[in-house]
Amino acid sequence: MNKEVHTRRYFIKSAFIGLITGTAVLWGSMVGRQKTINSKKKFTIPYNPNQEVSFNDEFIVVTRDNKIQVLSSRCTHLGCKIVSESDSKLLCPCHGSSFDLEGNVLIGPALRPLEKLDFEIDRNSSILTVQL
Amino acid sequence: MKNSKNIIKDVTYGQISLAAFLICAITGVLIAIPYDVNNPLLSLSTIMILNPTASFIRNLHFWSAQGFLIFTLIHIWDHFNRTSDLRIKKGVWLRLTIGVIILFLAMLTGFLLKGDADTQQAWRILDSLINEIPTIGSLIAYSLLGTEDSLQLVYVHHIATFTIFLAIITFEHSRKLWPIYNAFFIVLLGSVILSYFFTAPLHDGINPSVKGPWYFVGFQEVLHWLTMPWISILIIILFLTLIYIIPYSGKQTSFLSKRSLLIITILYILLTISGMFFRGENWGWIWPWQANYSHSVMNSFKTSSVTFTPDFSELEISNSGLVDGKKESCIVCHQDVVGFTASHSPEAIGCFSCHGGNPFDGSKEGAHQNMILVPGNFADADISCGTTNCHPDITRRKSSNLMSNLSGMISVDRFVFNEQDNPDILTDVHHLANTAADEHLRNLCVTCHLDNPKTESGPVTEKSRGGGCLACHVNYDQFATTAWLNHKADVFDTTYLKYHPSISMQVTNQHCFGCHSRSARISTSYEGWHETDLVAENVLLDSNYRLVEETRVFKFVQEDVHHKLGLSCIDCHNSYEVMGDGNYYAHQENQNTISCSDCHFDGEPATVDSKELDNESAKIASMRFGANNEKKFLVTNKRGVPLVNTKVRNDSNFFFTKNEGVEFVLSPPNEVCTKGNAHDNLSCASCHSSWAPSCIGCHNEYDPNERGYDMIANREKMGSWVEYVGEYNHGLPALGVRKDGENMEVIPVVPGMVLTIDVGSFSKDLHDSLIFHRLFAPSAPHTTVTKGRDCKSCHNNPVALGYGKGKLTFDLTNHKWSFDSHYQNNPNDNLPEDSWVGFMDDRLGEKVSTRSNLFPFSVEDQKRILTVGACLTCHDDNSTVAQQSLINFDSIIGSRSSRCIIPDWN
Repeated sequence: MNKEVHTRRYFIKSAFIGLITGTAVLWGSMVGRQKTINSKKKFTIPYNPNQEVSFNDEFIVVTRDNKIQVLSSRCTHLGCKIVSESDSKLLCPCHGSSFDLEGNVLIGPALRPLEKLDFEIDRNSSILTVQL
Repeated sequence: MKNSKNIIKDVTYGQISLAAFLICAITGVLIAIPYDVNNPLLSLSTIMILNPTASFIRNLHFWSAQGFLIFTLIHIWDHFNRTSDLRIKKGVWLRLTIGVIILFLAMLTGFLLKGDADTQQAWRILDSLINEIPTIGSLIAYSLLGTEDSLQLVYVHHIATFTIFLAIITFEHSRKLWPIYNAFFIVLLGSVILSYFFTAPLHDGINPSVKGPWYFVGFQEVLHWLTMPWISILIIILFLTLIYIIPYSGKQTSFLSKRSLLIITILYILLTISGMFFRGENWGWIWPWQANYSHSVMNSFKTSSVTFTPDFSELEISNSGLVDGKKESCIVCHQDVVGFTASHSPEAIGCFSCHGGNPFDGSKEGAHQNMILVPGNFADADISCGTTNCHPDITRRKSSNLMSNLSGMISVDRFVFNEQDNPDILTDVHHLANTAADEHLRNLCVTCHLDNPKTESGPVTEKSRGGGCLACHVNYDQFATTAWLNHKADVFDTTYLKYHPSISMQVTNQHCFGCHSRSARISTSYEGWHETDLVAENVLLDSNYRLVEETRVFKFVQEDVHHKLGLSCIDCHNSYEVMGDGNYYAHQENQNTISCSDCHFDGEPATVDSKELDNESAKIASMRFGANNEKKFLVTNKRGVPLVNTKVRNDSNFFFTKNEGVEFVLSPPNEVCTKGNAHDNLSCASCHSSWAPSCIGCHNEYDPNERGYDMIANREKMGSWVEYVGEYNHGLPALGVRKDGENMEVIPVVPGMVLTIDVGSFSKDLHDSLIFHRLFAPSAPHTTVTKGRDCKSCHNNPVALGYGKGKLTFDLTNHKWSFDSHYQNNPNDNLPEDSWVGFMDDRLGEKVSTRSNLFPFSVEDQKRILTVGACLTCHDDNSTVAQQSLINFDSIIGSRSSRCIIPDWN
């Protein structure tokens, strides 16, 4: 009798764990796939060579001494969008981090420099393509 | 008393929480009807402005939610202190503990659903924080928040996942779905009152301060100090663990846990206070007495009551447009307003971004609260013209601009009053003290600083002073002017509200005229007008005379050749000169970069390619003259500032007027200007200025009984410095030497400060007495003529040499120069009234000018000039001798004939 109960309980327990695990696997697989589908890879914008710093949703274009750099606009502290610059400092509005125009941290709490993004520029059409 | 006790009988914190939850759930279902998750900001702004009932329901939803949060937390704490009541199963208590975090998530997702500037950042913070959880963080974050450009998942979790979870655990532990009536009506009454008076927040999209909801601000402060945000996850887990272990731990552990929670709560409240009241833009610390505190910090508290009867018709509602994807109450009433430039039209930037007020209030009174009638004054420039998305890079420079800080004017005045030894010390108009000089400035001079606020609408006139950005950038067209004049005549005529002045780059000479028709009078001189001491009533006004400010009589002399060609002030003066370049300069000649030789040059010019323009120059150039592609511009020799209204093409150089776009081909200087090296050190203005105004013999004294004006405080007062003017003159300017290190330049000078000051009349100190000065000032006459002055006008002219008017004679018999002055000697220094130096004197070691680097000709210089002058008594300007002397004067002198007479200086 006890053996039967143990067997049934064991079966139900195992089935429950299996169900949970299966659901978790399905959940993880679905979300992972969906993330890939929804992730944006490329952004294309008109490039203004005269603007030292220009802000876009996902990135910041910095042009200095004829050198172009594209930095992620996500603060490396907690991802806030950096939308302003003052005295050649990029300022995070949420927690006060600031970065130089190379993306290096000047004042924390951020510790890591802003991510440098790959980009291509078509000099003829002045179109900048940024790879996220 | 008894009744009130009966009312609150059986009303527990749990009951209040349950009531708040119920109200929140019901209002949530209702507000879902007008709310659009695909356009959250638009739907919410529309609700707030155009649908007061929906706005009220939204407020009920908001305030009942805040009540639910607060009273749930108090309810939990209350249970800790009544441990005997805690007979909850471990599993239930675990779910309740998880419920605390679900409660905060329900609140936060509600906050995110606003879709405004605050919530966009909050979404990213939440996403990053959850991603800090090892292994499954990314999975949870995506499942909870979805993608940044859609709030669909957030909405689902807010209205379903979290709400259902909270409902289940509420029922599971209390076995109640409905609160008692008393609790329900108490909460409902409180929520209704709060909802009527305090509209739930929505970020205006302009204010740069970003803050989370009030219950998250303390956490935001914690995150500010945490370089490793994952620690905050541990803090949350610790917080939940403490809650979980309290009911089931031993007495001592339970006590310690409760004490820990209390300390954490108190600390969190302190952090919340600091975050709410002392954190502003970019999470910078800001004290209440600091400038911009109200805008930077208190903006989060901006709210209004619900207006159930909006001040506009249904027709106006249906016609009102959108501003940056949202509604603004301003343009519901102020529709069909004309006069804007495209970049400053309501469709582009709305009204709120310049005029402030409350863009989401449906009542006239509420929408106009704290409105800025005349934006652009420097006191509010940072929150109008200079907001993050507009022109912050320009307004940041405003105080460095000499037209704002008046450093040169103030420093020279203090120098003249003997209050400082150096006229070049940097200072600011906001740092005036109560000395004689500073009072003199307050009474007579400083009204012209750009920071002087424009307090009334209306076009810029010759009486205008200051006005911040609008001093230059506001323009009333014919319709706007007429409508404004009609309103001035009849305040009930509100047609002017339909005709907005344009805010543009069309900066005309009229904008400069108000201030620059005074002091050096370059605006009037440029147009050819010289101020006289004539009385208006005694002058028959014809084309030779002009009245300025109704009383000042100007006589026509000769206009500047550039004015004759149609050039405006801004055609030469670039944005970095008139708006400052961020550096502080002692005097205007230091701040200015433009010089004649930037346009009129020999040889290869200094240029800049369009791709290398700074952003400001590029923007101005493209807005005025179209795309900059492949263009090449001239730059100033001083500091290399691009001249955006020039163009270099195929070895030709072109110049365009900025307002009209009229094209000119730039001409090189005359051959004589560059011939030889005799005049290498002469500025163009020293030869090409046809005249300059001057004033001598002025006296200043303080009259305590004179009705005066404090130009800083902008108020009338009793007692004022009074200026008794001497004599107004005009003529060829004198010349002086400006020394800059090893370099020297001959420039036009005028008697800037030949005056007396009765300092004793102000200070009443017996040691103070009459000050006398004979100081000349550098001059930029702005009276340019194509043909420069002739040789004799300098070499044989006592005015040019600084002696003043009179007869300068070369005696051919005794080979001596002599000078007989027109004016009598001033008893203070025994020099003629209008002179700078005595004949064959250079006043070495004395205060001679309003600059530390400006001097009269030395005695040696005077001898060299007059030696040429002696030659010119016989030889004509165009004679071979005169022309050759330009190339090698010493050689000409060495090979002179025996008949030539040169001065004897012994």
